[in-house]
Amino acid sequence: MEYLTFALAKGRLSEKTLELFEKIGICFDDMKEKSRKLIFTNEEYKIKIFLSKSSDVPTYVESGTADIGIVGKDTILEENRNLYELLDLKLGKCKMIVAGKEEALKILDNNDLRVATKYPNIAKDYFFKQKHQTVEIIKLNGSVELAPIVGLSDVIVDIVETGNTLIANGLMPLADICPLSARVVANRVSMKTEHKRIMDIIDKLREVI
Amino acid sequence: MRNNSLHTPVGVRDLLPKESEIKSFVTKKIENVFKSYGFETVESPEFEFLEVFSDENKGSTDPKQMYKFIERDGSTLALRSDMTPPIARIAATVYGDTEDPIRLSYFGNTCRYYEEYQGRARQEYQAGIELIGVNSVEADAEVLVIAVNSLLETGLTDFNITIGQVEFFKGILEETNLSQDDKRTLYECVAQRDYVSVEKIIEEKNLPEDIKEIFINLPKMYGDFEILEYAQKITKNEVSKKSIQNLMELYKIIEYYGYEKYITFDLSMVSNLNYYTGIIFRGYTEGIGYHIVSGGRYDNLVGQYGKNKEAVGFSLKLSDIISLIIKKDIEIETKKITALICYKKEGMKSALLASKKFRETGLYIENGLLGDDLNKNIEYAKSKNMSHVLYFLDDENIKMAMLTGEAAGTILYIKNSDLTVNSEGDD
Repeated sequence: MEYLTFALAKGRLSEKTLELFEKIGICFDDMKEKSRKLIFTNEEYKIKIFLSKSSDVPTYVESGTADIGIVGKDTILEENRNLYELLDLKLGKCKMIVAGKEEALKILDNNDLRVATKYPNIAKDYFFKQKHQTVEIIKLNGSVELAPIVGLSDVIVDIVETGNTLIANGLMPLADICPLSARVVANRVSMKTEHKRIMDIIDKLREVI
Repeated sequence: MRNNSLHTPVGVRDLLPKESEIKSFVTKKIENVFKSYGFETVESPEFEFLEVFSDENKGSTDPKQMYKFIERDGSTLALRSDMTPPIARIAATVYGDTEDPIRLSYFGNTCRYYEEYQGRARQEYQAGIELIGVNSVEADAEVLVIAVNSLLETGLTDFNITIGQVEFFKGILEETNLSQDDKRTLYECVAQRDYVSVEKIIEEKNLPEDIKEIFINLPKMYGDFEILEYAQKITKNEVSKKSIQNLMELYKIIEYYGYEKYITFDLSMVSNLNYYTGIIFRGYTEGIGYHIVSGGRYDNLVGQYGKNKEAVGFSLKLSDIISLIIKKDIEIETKKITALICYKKEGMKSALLASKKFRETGLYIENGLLGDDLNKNIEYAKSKNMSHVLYFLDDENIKMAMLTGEAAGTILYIKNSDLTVNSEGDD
C-alpha cells in the first residue's frame, strides 16, 4: 500500500487538525518530540503528513505531491486551484470582510475606491463580479490594517475573527464577504486512485467535528 | 541589458533528441492504433479566429487562457487552445454531405496560458480522435476502447479511465424544484468539486430526504459496475435512469474487449465545458496529478458550424505521457546509428558509395567529417556508442574497427569487394 500524503497549513490550524486525527485514531507520535523533522508518518494507516505555509497547500495538492490538504477557505478562494473540496472541519471559523474607517461607509460604492489586501483575487471577485464595481486593488503582504490609517487605501479586505485588531486601530467592519473555516481538499487523481481510503477518513472526520 | 535569446519563455521548452525520439515513437504507435480502427488524420491550423475556441457553444476556453493576437484586418486570432472545435468545423464544412460515420484523428500542439509559477506547461502535444455522425452506445464504446488500446500501446499499464454521464446529474437537478439560479449554482459547485458548498445549499433549501441523500453521497458515486446498480436503485427520474442504462450497456461492450479492468465509473462527474451531452471520461495514471485523457460525447458542437452531426471523441495528453515514459524508463524500440564511415582522400568515392548502399538497406550510418585521422574518428564513434568504424584507405582496402561486443578493440583489414551488405538488423 502506498502512503497517503497530507499537507497541513502550519500554525494553530495544524494543531487542531492533529487533535481531530487523534480522535479518529490516527496519531503521529514522532511529532510530539521536538525535532527538526519535516515529514511525519503513521505506519499503521500508512499516512504521511507534512506542514507547509498555508498558501502553498493548494499547490502541493493540485500537483498530486500531497493527496489531501487541510487549509483555510480563504486560501482556497485566493489560490483558485483545481481541487476537490470535501469537508468543512468547522475549525478556525472567521470571516472575510471589507473594513475601514467609519467615514469610508459613504464612499463604499464609488468606482474609485482603493482597496488594500493580502487577497487580491478574493477582493477582485467580490467587487468586480459580485458588486459589479470598479475598484483599485493594492496588494500588501502584511499589516493590512495600516493601509487606511496611513492613507494608502480607503478600505481593506481582510480576515477577522474577533475584530479586536480592527477596533484597536480605529477601524470597523463595513461589509461581509463570506464566512471562512478550515476545509479538507483532495487531489483529483488521488480521488480516483485512493477513493476508498480518502472517503473512509472523511466519514470518520465527519463524525467527530 | 537582459538577454532573452538564451532561454525559452515560461511554459515552453526545447525537446532534445531523446525526448524527440520518444515523441515520434509514441506518435507512430498511436497513429497505427487510430488507423487500425479506420481513422484518418486531419490537420487544423496553429491559429484561428478567437471565437472558434472562446464561443460558449463551441470551444469554451476561457479567453484569459488564450494566446491572442490581432490580424492585420483587425480581427482577433488565437493560438489553438483545443483540438476539437476545429475538427468539428472540418466535419461540418468538408464532410457535410459525406456518408456517416466520419472517423477523424489528429496530432498537434495546443497552447494555453496557465498562471505563472504553477509548474504547468503552456504548450501541450495532443493526439485524439472524433467519431462523427452516430449517436449510439457502440460508438461510445469504440472510442473508449481506442483510448485504452492507445495507452497500452505506449507501454503504460497502470492507468484508469473514469466514465461519467452528464445526463445523470442533469436528471437529478431537474427532479428538484429549485429555481434556475440555484440549479446553476449547484451545477457549478459540483463541476468544481466543491462539495462543502453543495451540502450547504442542500441544507438551506429543504429538499426531500431521498434527493438530499443523493447530493450528499455524490462524492461516493464512484467505483466499479456495482455503483451503477446502486445508482439505478436510488434514482427515480427517467433521465438519470436512462443515463445509467447507457453506462451499463457501455460496460458490457467494453467487457467483450476484455478492457473492463481499466474502467471505473464516477457519476458525480460533470463538466465545465458546455459541449458534453452524454458520456464524459478522463484517464489517469500514477505519477501525474492531472488527467492524461479526456473525452466524451458532444452532440451539439458540429451543429454550431451549420450541419447537425452527433459526435464522440477524446484527446490524449501526449506531452505528459512522453515525460512519464522517460521518468519510468519504459523500454521503447529505437534504432541506433551502427557505423561511422571515414576515409583517406583516395578512398572517398568507394566510402560514400558504400555508405549509400548501407543506408538503402535500412542501416543508420554517419559520414566521418573529422578528416583522415583514424583514432580521432574512433574516439568520436565510441562517444556515440556506435559498433563499427569503416576506414577506407583507397578504393579497395578498408580498415574495420570493432567497438562493441567481444571483438571490441580489434582492427581488421578487409577488401571493398568482400564488403557484404547485410539486411537490416543483423550485424
